[in-house]
Amino acid sequence: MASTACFMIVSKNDIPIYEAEVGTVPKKEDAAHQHQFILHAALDIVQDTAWTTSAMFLKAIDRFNDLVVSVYVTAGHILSFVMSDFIIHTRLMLLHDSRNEDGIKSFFQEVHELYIKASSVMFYNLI
Amino acid sequence: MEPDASIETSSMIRVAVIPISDVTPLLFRDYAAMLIRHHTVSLSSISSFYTEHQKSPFAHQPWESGSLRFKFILGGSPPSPWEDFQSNRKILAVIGICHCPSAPDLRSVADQFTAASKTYSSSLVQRCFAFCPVDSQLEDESVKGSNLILFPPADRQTQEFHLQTMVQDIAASLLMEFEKWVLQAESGGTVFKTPLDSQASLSSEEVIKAKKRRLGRAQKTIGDYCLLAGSPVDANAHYSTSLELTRLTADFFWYAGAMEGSVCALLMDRMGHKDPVLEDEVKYRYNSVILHYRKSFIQDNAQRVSPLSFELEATLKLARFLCRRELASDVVELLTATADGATSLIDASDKLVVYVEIARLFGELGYHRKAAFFSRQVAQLYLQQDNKFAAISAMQVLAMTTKAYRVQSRASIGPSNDAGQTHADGGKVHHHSIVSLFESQWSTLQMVVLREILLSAVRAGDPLAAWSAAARLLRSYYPLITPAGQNGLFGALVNSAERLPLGTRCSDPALPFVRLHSFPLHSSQMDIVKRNPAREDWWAGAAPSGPFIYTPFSKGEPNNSNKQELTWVVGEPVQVLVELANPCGFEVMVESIYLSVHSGNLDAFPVSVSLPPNSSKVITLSGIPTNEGLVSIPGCIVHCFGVITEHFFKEVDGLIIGATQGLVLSDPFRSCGAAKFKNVLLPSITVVPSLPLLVSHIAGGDGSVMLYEGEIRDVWISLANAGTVPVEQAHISLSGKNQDSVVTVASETLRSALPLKPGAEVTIRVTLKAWQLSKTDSDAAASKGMPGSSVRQAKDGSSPLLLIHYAGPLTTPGEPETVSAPPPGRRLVIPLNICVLQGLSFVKARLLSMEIPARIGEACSTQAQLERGNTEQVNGSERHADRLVKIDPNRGSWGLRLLELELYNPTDVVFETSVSVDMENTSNQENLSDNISAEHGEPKTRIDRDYTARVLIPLENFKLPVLDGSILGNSFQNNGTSGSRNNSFSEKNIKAELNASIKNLISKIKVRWQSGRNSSGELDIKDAIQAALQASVMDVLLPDPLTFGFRLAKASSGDINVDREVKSCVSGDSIIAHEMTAMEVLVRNNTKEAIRINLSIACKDVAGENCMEGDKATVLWEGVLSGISMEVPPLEEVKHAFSLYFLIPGEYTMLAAAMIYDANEVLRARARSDALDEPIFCRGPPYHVRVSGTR
Repeated sequence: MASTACFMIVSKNDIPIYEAEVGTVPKKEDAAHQHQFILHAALDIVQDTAWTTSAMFLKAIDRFNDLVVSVYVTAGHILSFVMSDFIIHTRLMLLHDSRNEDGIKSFFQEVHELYIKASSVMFYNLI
Repeated sequence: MEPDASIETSSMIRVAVIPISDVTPLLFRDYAAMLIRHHTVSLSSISSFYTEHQKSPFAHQPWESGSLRFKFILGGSPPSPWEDFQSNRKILAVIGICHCPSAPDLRSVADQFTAASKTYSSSLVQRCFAFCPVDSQLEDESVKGSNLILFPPADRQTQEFHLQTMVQDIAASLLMEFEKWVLQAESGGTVFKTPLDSQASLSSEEVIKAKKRRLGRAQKTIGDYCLLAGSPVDANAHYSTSLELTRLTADFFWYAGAMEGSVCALLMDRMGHKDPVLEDEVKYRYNSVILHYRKSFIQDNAQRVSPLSFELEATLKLARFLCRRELASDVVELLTATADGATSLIDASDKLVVYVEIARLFGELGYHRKAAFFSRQVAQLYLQQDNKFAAISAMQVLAMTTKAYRVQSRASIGPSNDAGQTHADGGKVHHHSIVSLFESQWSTLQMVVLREILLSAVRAGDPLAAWSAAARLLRSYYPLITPAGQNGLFGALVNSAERLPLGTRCSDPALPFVRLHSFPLHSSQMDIVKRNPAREDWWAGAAPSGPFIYTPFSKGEPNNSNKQELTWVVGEPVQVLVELANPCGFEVMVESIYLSVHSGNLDAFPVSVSLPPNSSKVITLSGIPTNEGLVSIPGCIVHCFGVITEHFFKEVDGLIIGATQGLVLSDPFRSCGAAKFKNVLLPSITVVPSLPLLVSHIAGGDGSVMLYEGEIRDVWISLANAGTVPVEQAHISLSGKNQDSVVTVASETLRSALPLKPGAEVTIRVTLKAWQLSKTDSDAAASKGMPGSSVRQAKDGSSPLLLIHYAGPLTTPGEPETVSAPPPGRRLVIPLNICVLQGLSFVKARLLSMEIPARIGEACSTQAQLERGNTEQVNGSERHADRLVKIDPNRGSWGLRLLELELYNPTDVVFETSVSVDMENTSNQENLSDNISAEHGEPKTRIDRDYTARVLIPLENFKLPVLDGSILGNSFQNNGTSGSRNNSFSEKNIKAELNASIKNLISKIKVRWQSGRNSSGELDIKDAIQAALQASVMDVLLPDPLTFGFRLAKASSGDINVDREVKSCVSGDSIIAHEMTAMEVLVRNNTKEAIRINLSIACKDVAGENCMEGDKATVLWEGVLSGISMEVPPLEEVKHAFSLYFLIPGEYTMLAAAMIYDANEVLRARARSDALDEPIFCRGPPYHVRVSGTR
């Protein structure tokens, strides 16, 4: 079964630093736009929800039509703390249509690990 | 599905407000606005209009605190199929609005209104408000009794009061109608139907079912009317009954409706007081409402009608009720559910309303991105409808999303509050502001939104909005757009502009990118110098003095180096360089671009420029300041693509800084190959009132003056005041290199011409003397192989500069004396471009000595005096020429010294040189005549090109008259008595004295040259002469201690008579053989002490043999010729007479020599003898004697 999935990493100031269509549905430009629009809008909800729970995996926090937004919030950027007023979470966001919560969670954990490795390289400045 | 639904909507009486006859939309809106203000009418206020006809069914009506609420529907609305279900959906009253002046016939107005109100079958009350009737209409009796209500012309307040009364009247009428209706309904007979109920012919079972349900539905409807009548307690009672009944009959839809009504009644009863318990109650009941609406879904007629819209509406009502930040998660859940449900809505407009409401509620919650998302959904729904109005709506909705997506038009941000502000914080651009301005990371979304705005604007026929969207798209995202896409946008811009009137302004700039390049400094002709009123010589501190750029001690000066300050002058054109970039693939034709001046005191001149694809250009924008004060230039006004826009420098700066930090896509200037970004700060620019403006002009052309080395020439500089203010102060100074080449500047001329009125001109003379080219210069010229014409450009900076500081009056006439700083002064820099050509070049100098024997004669007794250099007895001007070359034929010139200068002419012109010796230091009276003689008498030496010539300068003249103390004597005398310490001191003294004498001597020698008619100058050969003289300066300067001379004795014997004497004089001192010739030898002591000497005289023949002694003596003599001891008194002459008898005619040479006894130190030093006992010899110059044979 073809599935839709759009993965995005959003850094501080809500700036996306990575975006990828990882679904198996054949790519359509309009759909890609729509996915980004949905993820962008979901940031409003992430912003509030992230503070209500200690869990990093926020599960499906938003949805539009058949598409569900799952979010994984990383721990605050320690370095960013100095520069801004509040701790910035990097948010790993996945827009998907299948409801495989465990699979999504493990996907997020894997990505998080890779992300930490990448951002630990001191010369690499993730915006 | 209705927009703006809330729980309270159930209690609102719906009133249609319709325009009657010709009412302009503007007036209609105006009148309606007056009406809408009366949306709530308290029950207490209508009691006077209310008459209780029968027992009111609203038993618990709160007459004291309750109110009726109206919902005015402007323009009316079509009847809803759900009117029976929710009575508040009925149009219960109709109000017509008529503007009498445009509808003269009131009768027809009344008719029109009646016709219009007929379409609202449910309406219970109809009134037509006619505003501003004329007198005739007021008197019109025909409309009396109709629903027409005239509002006589009055002030606004009166009219509003009148209107309020009328609304109260309507409210009272409605209340009475409600009572009537409720009483009628209670009595039974009314059938309540909804579209949900089967429309097909009812089966018997269904008829029975419907009959059962009727009672519950009636109770619900009565409850609705109770709510409308403002009586929640009554309503609640009816709803409770209804809930019971509908639950029993499983009439879920009406159950939900009754439940909704009961919640509204509950809220009305609490009159706006909210508490958590109430909220929980409302939540609980509404959840039940939603549940029951969902339950009422019947699969049979799902295709046709569905209670879904009621379910969603109820959800939205609850969300609106709960819509608070603290309950955000609940609201979000409700709204998400609504959005989910909306997908299954059948009616497109229902969907639209749902999305609009969701967007509004998200917006209220502060979730702007969510709101923007749903707004965009709304816009997409609008865009699906293919009509202009939908497109306009889409455009408007999208415009609201631009803020969340950060693509808003500058117009919507409002007047930029800091655009005009200069970089007060030193140009720091904050990170956040860059991000907010150019957050391009969501560029996909931003581009989609802008594209949709463009699309909807084109469809809506709004060319300005289309232009603005295309401009924003192109400007911000050109790197992401393909060339084809860029061309498409270019086309969109041009097409939109065609539909716009000429000169339309848009707040969003398109292309090109404009950044500040630089401010050209004032030309040196117009430099402005601050004037310090406290200092008379305000110009003194103006130029940087000293070798250091930064002096740590001048901290008092407000010298903020990184803050540029510019001063512009009213009426004098100024220039600003800006750089334009067009990073797109099409040519940008800028029809005009000029500086945008917010301060309004600069007239900017537009220029037109064309930018080829992917190019950048630096252009000069100019303007004329018109008023004094500060000038702020935040950007440029650009007329491009048919629209006028303002481009701010700051935005581009931010963009470029963002690009360097990787925050934005691209730096448009870098991609066009422009130079690297340099942060040009917008300086603070002050405009000062008009200043005088001096313009200089060098007579004979402003080019460089070609001068040969050492040439002296006058240059005439004319200064004209081109300003509008007179010059009142002026000061001339020099600067730059080779300042000593300016000999004189006629600053007096300038000063005397002050004040220099506007337009006036003064010419001043500057005398220049060309400097010597350095060795390397001349070498370079020689190596280039052009010794003849070494025409070289004056090297930069090698010429001196003439600085003229000048200023106008301290205060402007007519203005009171102000305490503020006086208008600044100016500095005019006139570079004296001197191009020095190699002139006569000095090759070498030599000191020559000559021995020219003199002849013996007796004529002139002045020889001795002449020799002393004393010119007291000047015997005629005929001697002037001889004096320079002092060869007196009658006098020995023993040891005559000549300075020979070898000069080479490498130029291609002819030089004439002349040597003059200024005898300034000789005795005073003679100075004048001597100088004159020197000038008149100097012989000229012509030196052709490429030739070398020699010039001789006799140095005999410089002999000191006395060999003595002042130079040598004193010191040597002292030497004997005082110690050696003194000696060294004296030696120093001697040296100094000698040097002074040499300098003096050298300064007297001048070699002047002339070439052509107007080139003349002086060779600078002082050093050369000094070098040549250094070795033998003593010989040149100091006289011999003794000088000797021979002459024929006047009356030596009786034989030599007067006659012969005269003859001999005439015949050139000829001496005849075989005659006794009386002679005298003169010995002069040039020292200040008597000298004892032993004199001897010799005579030699041509062969140099002594002809007075030996065997072959040819001369006989009488008197003493050798061993003559005598003492010569100081500074006096002693004669010694003798006679000679020449046997053979011919040439003889007479020599006198003396040995000095007891020579003192002076003499010893002069003779350079060291040994004390060594005798010192003195020889006189040889004298020729020509002895002729016969008379």
